[in-house]
Amino acid sequence: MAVFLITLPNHDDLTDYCSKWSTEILKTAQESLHQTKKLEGSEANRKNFESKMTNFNPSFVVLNGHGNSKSVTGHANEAILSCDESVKNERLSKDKITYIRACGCGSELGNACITANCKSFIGYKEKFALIKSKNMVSRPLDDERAKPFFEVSNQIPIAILKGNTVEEAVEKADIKLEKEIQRLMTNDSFLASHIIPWLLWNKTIRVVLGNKKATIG
Amino acid sequence: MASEEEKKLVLARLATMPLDMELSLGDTGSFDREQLIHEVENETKVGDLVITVYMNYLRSFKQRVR
Repeated sequence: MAVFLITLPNHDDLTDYCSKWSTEILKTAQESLHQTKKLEGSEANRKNFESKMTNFNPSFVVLNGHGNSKSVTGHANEAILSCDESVKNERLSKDKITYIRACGCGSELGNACITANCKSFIGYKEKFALIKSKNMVSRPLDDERAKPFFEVSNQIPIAILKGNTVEEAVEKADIKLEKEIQRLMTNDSFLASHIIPWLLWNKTIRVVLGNKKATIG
Repeated sequence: MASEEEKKLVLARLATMPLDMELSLGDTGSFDREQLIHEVENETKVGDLVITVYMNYLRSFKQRVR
């Protein structure tokens, strides 16, 4: 049984989507009997994050939020893990598997975490894209257009929580991506032409750093 | 930089995007059909990204059906 930490900010539409669609990740963590620490909404701030990382020493961390090349943010866009000089707390990722579902962190922050002996880092080096429906903001989990983006990206933390290596988890995400592409093209090729390009983009910009054979154990 | 032909192709594709659909690109913002058309026509960073992504998709689609 490992300690798993996940941030779930929800202060705008995008973070709310990411956090609501993380339900499956949380369900897997429970079923896999891991001790789960959540930082939800306004709790997803730097002080709480640093405290949980220090006091509970999770072996696997999932961060939802906005980001750039140096930082991932939590509630109200406060940087919570960052290699920027003003925060410089990437050392907290030492010995952990870290998955960041945010824009840009796969570049400088990812490399900084690896330098700080992060076990393995998975992130995105450019803007993480999401197709969604304007009229679904109050019901993100009913948004069929957004669903494939989260069902694919969720595969990574879900597989890691089930004991797969980082490499296996990424492969499972790619298998899910192919299945979603086939499903979309079969069911609605017109809609597919607007969704698939961005699913493929997210795969193109994904980075996996550090030990690809790492597991949560 | 995208060619005029690529730009026209992508604009034609964007014209078919449902009105209630939008693309979110993190804190850069969310863009509906009209906004994306504006970004592409004005050759902004977002517009260039949209062209790149759609053209990559069309090329990979060609590979898939071969």
